Amino acid sequence: MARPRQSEESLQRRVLLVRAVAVLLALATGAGAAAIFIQYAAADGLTPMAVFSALLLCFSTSWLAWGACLGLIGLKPSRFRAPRHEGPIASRTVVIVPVCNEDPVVTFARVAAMYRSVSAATAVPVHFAILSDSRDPGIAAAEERWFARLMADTGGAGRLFYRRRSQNTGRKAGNIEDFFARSGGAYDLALILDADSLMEGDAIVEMIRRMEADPSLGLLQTLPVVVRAQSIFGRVMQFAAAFFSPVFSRGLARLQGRTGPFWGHNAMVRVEAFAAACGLPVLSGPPPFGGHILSHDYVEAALLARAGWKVRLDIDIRGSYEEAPESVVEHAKRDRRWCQGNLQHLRIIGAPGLKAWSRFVFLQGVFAYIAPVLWAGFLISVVVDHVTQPPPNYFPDPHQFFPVFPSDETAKAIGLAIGIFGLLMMPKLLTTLEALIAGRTKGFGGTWNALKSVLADFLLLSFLAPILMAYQTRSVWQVLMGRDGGWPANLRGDARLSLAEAWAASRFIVLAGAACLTIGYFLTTQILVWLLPVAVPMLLAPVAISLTSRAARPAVGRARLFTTPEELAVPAILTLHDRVLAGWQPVAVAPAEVKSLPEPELARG
Amino acid sequence: MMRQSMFDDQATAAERVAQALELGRLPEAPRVMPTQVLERPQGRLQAWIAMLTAGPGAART
Repeated sequence: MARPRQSEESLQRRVLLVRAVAVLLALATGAGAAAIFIQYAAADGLTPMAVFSALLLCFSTSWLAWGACLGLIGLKPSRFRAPRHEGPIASRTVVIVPVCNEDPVVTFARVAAMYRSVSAATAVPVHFAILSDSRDPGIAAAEERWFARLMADTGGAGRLFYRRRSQNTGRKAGNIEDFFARSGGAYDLALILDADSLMEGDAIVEMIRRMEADPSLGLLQTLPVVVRAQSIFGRVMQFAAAFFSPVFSRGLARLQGRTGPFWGHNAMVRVEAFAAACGLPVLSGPPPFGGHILSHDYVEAALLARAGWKVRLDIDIRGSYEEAPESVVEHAKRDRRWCQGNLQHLRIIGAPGLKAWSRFVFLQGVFAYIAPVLWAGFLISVVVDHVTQPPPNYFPDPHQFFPVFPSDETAKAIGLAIGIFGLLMMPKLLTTLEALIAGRTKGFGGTWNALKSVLADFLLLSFLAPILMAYQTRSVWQVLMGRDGGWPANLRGDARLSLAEAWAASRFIVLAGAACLTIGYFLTTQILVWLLPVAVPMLLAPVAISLTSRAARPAVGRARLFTTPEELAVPAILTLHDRVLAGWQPVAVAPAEVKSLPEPELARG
Repeated sequence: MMRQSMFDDQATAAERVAQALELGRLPEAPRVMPTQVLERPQGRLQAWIAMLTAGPGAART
């Protein structure tokens, strides 16, 4: 018994060391950037505004450096092999699928596909529970009809269940809590999914075996791969997630120790642990900071760790999939919810008994939304400082014969800009190098195609970055102003936006970009050129949003840009889902059209 | 008032689960989920943070 304990302790020591090095490196980089900026600003005389700018730069650069550290730590391939139970499966397992105003045809077809896949992978019964929070009566009625079709098709009586709550208290977390409170005693393990999740039966069985092998494991998170993106924006994000996120996630996994993440779906929980540790309170005060906890998953992971359970991210489990927003506007809508949820964590960051790493994770989540605001604040403060500077005094001494010129520190400013750009680029460049060496580029259509996609991804996301930054800044502002964003339904599938729709969603960005350029032009033309990379994408936001929401094929598809491994070798579960959908015509129905769905053909089961 | 169960009250929990599954219904097997404590009693610092984070527009919600 002594050896595993010792190895656990040495693992913890290593984790602590890696965390300390990463945090110190990030802080040192931020401090270094601030020091260079101070030297640059001091050439014209150091002002309080310049010191404020340096402080903002310090925090922003530390955040960038932290991201770079995650990438660097994750570069080395992992030799970690999670223990798995090899004997007969004894756990009673349920797959939970919470839904809220989703298209029941597509969602229930996913359940049918996963049910068949897991039934083929193991003889041990795995139950599925569709937990509906749908408030739209038309969708609720359609759910009941299509559940009957699901049952008829699969013959899953006693294994597939559907229930709808009359009150959707606590949203998704409340939905799951309600299930555990009523039926949790019947199960040992629960796989929590989203409505758009898909998992191979083999992956589900592998998770059960890993949970059985380690009784102290409270939650096992997989790394869901984004699939089925159709629009240009969706495909860029899908490619970026497939190409870069394995390295960043490996970095995260190395830092986590026993205190891993929970992303709210595609994760398995030990019901006993989850029920005992994760009953969420309603926070005092009104939303957005009070009320129900929005980003409940982070909190649940922290609570499991507080209760002494292990929370682990296993990135080597294959066969875990999800879908992602198809347009900038859908992305921003989801981000608004996450922003409010993450900022709400400020209320519980000091909760009693939490692990230090859990508190740090909350802080990271807050920083993810504050960082763009800090960058915007830095740019504004630099402009203000420049404008309010008195003209240089070349003759400070009244009896001076020769003028005194301020020292030229432009080289420092350029060096700083290059350094920050390098911080942004380095992890991606190193990941590309890792992909080349490890032969991962084959899955992305070959080396040449992967390199083209990385370059196109960089150009497109760089152009969209100021637009996304503007949305994030607005989200933070709205939350700080006390505006509750609620929980808008996700729009899945076709997300094409006309120019008029894109303009309506982004005119504030255009106005902000125009104001930025106008102020820059009238106040100081010297820094106008520095503002252009930010202001031009903002001015063109409606065009960029509308164009990138369009279907990628055939233009992008034919060029094989942004190809991912799941497109070249379609996973079995996706094919199975397509096959079920093909039998359940009409195939893809937008949520708004659900009410007009025809009756399912029950006789065909 | 006692909640009326659709199953025989004398049956064990495991039997009740089995009965429910036979009927094709979600088993009634409650698990207690105690509400966790996340907020400390408010001290002066917490009150100050709460006031800051409530935001000037909190009253509008």
